[in-house]
Amino acid sequence: MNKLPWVDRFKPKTLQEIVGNYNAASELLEWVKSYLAGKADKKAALLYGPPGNGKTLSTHLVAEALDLELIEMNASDFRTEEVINEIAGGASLQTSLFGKRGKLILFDEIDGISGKEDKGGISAIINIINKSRYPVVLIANNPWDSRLKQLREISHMIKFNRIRSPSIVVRLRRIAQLVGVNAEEGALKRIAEAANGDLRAAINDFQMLAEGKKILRESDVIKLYQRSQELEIFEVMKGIFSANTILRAKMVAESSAVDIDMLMQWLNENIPNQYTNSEERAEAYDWFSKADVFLNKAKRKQIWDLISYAIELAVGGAALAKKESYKFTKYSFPKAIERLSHDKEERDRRKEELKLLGRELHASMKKVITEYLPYINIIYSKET
Amino acid sequence: MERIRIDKYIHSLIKKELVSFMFRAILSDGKIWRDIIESISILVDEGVFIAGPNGIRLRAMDPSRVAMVDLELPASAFESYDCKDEIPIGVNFDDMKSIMKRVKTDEKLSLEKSESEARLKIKFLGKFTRTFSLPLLDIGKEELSVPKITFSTNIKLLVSALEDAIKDAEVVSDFIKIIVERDLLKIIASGDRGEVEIEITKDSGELLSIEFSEPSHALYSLAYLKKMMVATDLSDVCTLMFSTDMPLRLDFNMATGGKITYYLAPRMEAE
Repeated sequence: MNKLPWVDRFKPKTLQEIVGNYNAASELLEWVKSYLAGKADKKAALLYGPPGNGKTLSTHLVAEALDLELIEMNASDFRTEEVINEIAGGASLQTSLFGKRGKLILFDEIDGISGKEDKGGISAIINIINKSRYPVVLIANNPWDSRLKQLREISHMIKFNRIRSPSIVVRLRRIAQLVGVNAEEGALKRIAEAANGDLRAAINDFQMLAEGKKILRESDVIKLYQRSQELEIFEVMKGIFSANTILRAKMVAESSAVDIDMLMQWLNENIPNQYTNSEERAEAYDWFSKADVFLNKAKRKQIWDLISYAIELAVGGAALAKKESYKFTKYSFPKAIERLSHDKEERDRRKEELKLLGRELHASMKKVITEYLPYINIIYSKET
Repeated sequence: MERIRIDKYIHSLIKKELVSFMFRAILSDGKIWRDIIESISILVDEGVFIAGPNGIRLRAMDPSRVAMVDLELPASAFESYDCKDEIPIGVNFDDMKSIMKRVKTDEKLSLEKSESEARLKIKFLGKFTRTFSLPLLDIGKEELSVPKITFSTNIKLLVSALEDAIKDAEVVSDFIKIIVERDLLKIIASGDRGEVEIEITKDSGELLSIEFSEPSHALYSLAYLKKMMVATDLSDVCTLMFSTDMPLRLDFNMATGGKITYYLAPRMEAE
């Protein structure tokens, strides 16, 4: 069995196979060619654009196409000037050990250089670009950072766009064929759209969903969405508990897609996680209980305007109960919901039974529960 | 009857114990392994030893891909050696170096890897036994082949002579020019800080043999050559091979059997 991730296993082998950014890849090829011919406009090329759209891959393939040895460094190697000089500096002054025609020096993720840690990192790279006898390629997601200004000025800029989702679908379908997964068109579309132009993310998601399966249905993919929503709610919790004004807390709550019932469950679960001090806890729950009163009234009497008061009370109380500054807290999934989903089957079965009884006895389900069921239970327990 | 069953049980246990070691090698002098590790770790951060039925080998490149180290340690170099199949042993050399620094004179060294564990047991066998356990790395194996080069020169010389020449050259420059013509190895370095010219000849006894098919010369970076001089603890004699403007090869043959070979790409001529 091939253990490589699908992203690597089905990586394009030549420039022609590149999906989505073929023009940008060709532009890079032309630039490197002109550099080798001594006619390049700039001393380096800067590839930029969102993640997962083929920047690094194109560089690899260009190096291969032109028989250049690729010397690659990424952000984790940039930390000091020393390391940059040792690796890229060393590479830029010697010829290839394997008799290749030349080299291509790649600095990947240059926007990962952070101001403090990477003292001298940028200037070391500029220095290498100026001294190097080999073409230098830089890659950044966001090249407009002010720290990269100097690099922008000496580089030939090549933009890599987000990959459009129809192109992603085409690629995914091809992979599906190769691994023998029968994937529904809707499933692939959903994956592609969720990836938002990031082909690598799309392939990773696809592998996670489809590996080892014969069929991938659209409904399987929808589940993935739900999981990512769950991720989001942790952020919401953090936003609410760390807010310093009711308004701020309310804005966080309203900007999320979480509905009020879910939000109440999460707050209920996590107030004790956030507040270990009993005074703070009491304060938060006091407001929470008032919110609950409003929420219930809103539902029972169908006065939906009241919900906005419920939100204000619940999240405002949770936010302002703190006496000290916000502490980082690990939030947990509401146990009540967990339990409800856990014995959902049993409840469903019970409901069916009640319905049957109700039909036979000409009574509502409620009446069955309160007036018949206790007697039925007694009758049956006596018998055995 | 009972007796036989117990015997059988014990026998199976012993067998299990033997089988569960995929790899076990004992070196009579632990310091040799320490020197080997040092001469690898100077160039490479992590790498994969391949232990096979005939011995251990390792091939790795430095991060700038300018230099390569190639180790061959045949089973005969060990006091005892046991390995049925080829197994990869990926290690972080800094970590292994720190462990090997603890080896004492007259201590034997045992390297063991069991089937189940992703660890290498490093045992120092001296007055008492000390066992270090090194977590192994699951490094993707890059199949490296050594550079295919026909060398026009083959020079055998004392390690000390080469080491001295490199130290001399460092005083004035960060690279050297190596020239072979007639029966003479000439090393020249020049920079802003001055110039130095070193001649190594047969007369002095430092040059043991010299063969060449044509006069040759090439430039090499001192930063890398200096690192390779760590291996001088392993051997008194080294073999230097190169061709004009082509990579250089440097062999250190160990007295106890085994060989470390370095390759170094030439530096480009200044424009």
